Amino acid sequence: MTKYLRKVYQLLFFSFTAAIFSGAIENQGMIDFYNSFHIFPAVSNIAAHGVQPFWPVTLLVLACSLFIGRFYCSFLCPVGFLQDLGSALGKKMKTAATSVKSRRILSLFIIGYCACAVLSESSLWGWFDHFTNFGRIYNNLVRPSFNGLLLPFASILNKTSFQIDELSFIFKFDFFYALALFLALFIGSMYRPRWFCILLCPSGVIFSFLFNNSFFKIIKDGKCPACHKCEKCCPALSINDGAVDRQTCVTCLECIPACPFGTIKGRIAFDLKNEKPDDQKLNAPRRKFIEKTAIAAIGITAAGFSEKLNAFTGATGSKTILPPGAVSAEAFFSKCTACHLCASSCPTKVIIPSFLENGFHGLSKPKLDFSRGYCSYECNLCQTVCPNGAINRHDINIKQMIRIGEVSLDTSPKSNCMPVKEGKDCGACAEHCPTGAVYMKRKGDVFIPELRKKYCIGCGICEHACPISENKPIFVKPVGAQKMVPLFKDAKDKDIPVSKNPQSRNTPEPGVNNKIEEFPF
Amino acid sequence: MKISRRDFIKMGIGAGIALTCGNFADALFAEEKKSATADMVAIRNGNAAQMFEAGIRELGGMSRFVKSGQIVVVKPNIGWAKNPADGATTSPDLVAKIIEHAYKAGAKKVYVFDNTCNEWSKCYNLSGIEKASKDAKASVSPANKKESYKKKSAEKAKILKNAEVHELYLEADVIINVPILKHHGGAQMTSTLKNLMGVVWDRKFWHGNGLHECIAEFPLYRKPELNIIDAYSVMLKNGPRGTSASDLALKRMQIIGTDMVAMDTAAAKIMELDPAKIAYLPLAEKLGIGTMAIDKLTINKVTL
Repeated sequence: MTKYLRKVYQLLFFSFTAAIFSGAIENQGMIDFYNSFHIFPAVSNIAAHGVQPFWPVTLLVLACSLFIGRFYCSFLCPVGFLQDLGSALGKKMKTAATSVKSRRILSLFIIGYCACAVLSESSLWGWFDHFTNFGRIYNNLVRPSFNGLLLPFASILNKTSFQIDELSFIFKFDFFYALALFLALFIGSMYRPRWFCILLCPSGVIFSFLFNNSFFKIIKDGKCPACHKCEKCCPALSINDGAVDRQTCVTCLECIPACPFGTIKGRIAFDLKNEKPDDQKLNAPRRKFIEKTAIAAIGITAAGFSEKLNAFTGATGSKTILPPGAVSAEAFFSKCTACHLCASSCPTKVIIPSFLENGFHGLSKPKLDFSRGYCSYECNLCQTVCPNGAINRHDINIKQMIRIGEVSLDTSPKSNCMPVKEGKDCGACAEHCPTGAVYMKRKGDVFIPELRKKYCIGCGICEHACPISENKPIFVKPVGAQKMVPLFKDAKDKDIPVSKNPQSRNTPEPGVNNKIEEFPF
Repeated sequence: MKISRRDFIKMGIGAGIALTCGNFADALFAEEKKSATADMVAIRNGNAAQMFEAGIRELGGMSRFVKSGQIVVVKPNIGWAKNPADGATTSPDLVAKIIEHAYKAGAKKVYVFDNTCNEWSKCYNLSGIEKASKDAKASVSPANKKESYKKKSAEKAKILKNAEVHELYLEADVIINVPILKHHGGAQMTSTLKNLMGVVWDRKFWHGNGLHECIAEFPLYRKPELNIIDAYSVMLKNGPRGTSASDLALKRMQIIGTDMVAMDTAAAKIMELDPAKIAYLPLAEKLGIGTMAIDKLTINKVTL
């Protein structure tokens, strides 16, 4: 029963994750709610931007682990779900290990490293964070594969609002990274179930620390004829001869109903000292504590050192175009962990992971590629979904004034521009420009594009719409830092009153331009 | 049923007479149409839905264009993710009214779509056309995927020899073309002819190979059965997207008819442009799509 309930929860939360990542949910509240479940992004967001609307959820996830253990890991975590799938196969094929000794040196190092990185607003913790890594797998592997699987049904599905993209694998670093990680999680779990949760995951360390000192315990109480049923059902291999290792236990609660003798029990006990294993000597806890602290301290030092190294390689100014609200390369790369949630939910799919254009600092971080799409003027979904606030959040009317790039236009006689080169009207760039920064001006028999650079926000739609395929006469260049531009208004023209209320457009307003226009024919 | 030789001959003669008379009647009827009904109706001083009601009545009712059991496509301009008040997209009330009339005339199904320039869901949503059309029980579908487009060719065309045209545009019994009248940076004016750019897949080809020629040649693939120009609030500059309310002029007009070239000529005059200087109009006239000599046509003018 518990087993199925847990699978239902895992599947539900995985669907929720897929809905958020695919951009199907655009509701700010729902997205904030979802993001607040994940400790590292949520805490990092609070560190950078102050308290978030759903902070009680983050607190609840932490508090719950104090009372009922790592329920996040066993019931919600999508990475845990992936590993459970792998270990289920491993159990079927009998490849899965039956018992392991937990070594937590690595995870202690990582937690020290990550904690330091979060507090010093460095993004390096993302390389270890389970959510970030899941995002990379989802965006670079799962989403394109899923599209590929649905491709045969595209002609039917595309007539509905459920849209299938073309096969959109980008065979660059992030694809291989995601593939390697996915295989490691899946195949690794076939041999060593939940290895990531126990050996690497920094969130897991926090949860297990809280659980280790929590009131809720799973204990062996009573007669145990060593039938090993509990050990077989445990997804984390944390039971040895009926003894539960609380360092690795993910509190899936499956062992309790699995025990045919009722020996394995869950118990609320407020006396913490009661449960010390027998072999612990008097000064062992202190030594262990010092040991752990030392390892964590090495992690912290390493974080500081790598951040120095990182900052050293970081380029000044960006060589790529960053999402609106990223402010500057320095600010963005220090917060963004490259979970690719912006990229996978972007409706125009203009956001893709970058490679080493901006050095190691910018590896995998999102960039805008205008050959794939453009930044939609009416959309601020990337700002809405960003789980740690690396992309600053703005109202849509503010986002519409943020300059993310700068337009460059060549209408010299050597230009490829249609009206200049062939003397034929085109106007694709100007017709798409949402701000009035590109407009058409008569020159001889044709109209050629002209710029009002002051108003350009660099959305890239001109570059995307330009019919010239190579050496485009109009394109968008990266800018050093994102700035606000003024709104274009034709100052020369007197305002003609037109209702801004969509509903009343078709009813003439009393007292406003009520003269009846004459037919000019 | 067994048919004897005599019956066969009788039937043959009968059919012959019927055919001849049919042709004759057609000719007669066409003459009659000219005298009884107008070539084009121009309406002013009402809201978009009111003007359509009055105009279609003047033209002989929707049943003249839509017969019982037919599939109808209404093609508004949904190109941009803009509010109806911005004057960049066709008025949703007008689209709803047209759908209502099509169903009243016996249409089996009415489809509404446009190959949008901005992201489709934003366009469909913000323009209000998706909601208005769905409320009027039309089927609204995105047209942003290549699979819905079919390769066609036109022999008479010089530049637009091949085009991928939306299957609904090719297969529907009746096409109702509902542009909003606007300025356009490249083509100078967006009206009935330019609006059909939204039923083809590769618009870049048009921009890159002669925009005016392609606009003029596209009706060679198929001409809409009915056109309605929404000229309630007309964007006179900074089109086709518009930058502010100062780009718009409140004209409160509408033109309904079947001759796209004639209608666009009249529309150009509403926009205070010289029709002869909008390059695609003379090109389309030369191809026999319609006539620019609107002085010679009967235009019924209605003032509400």
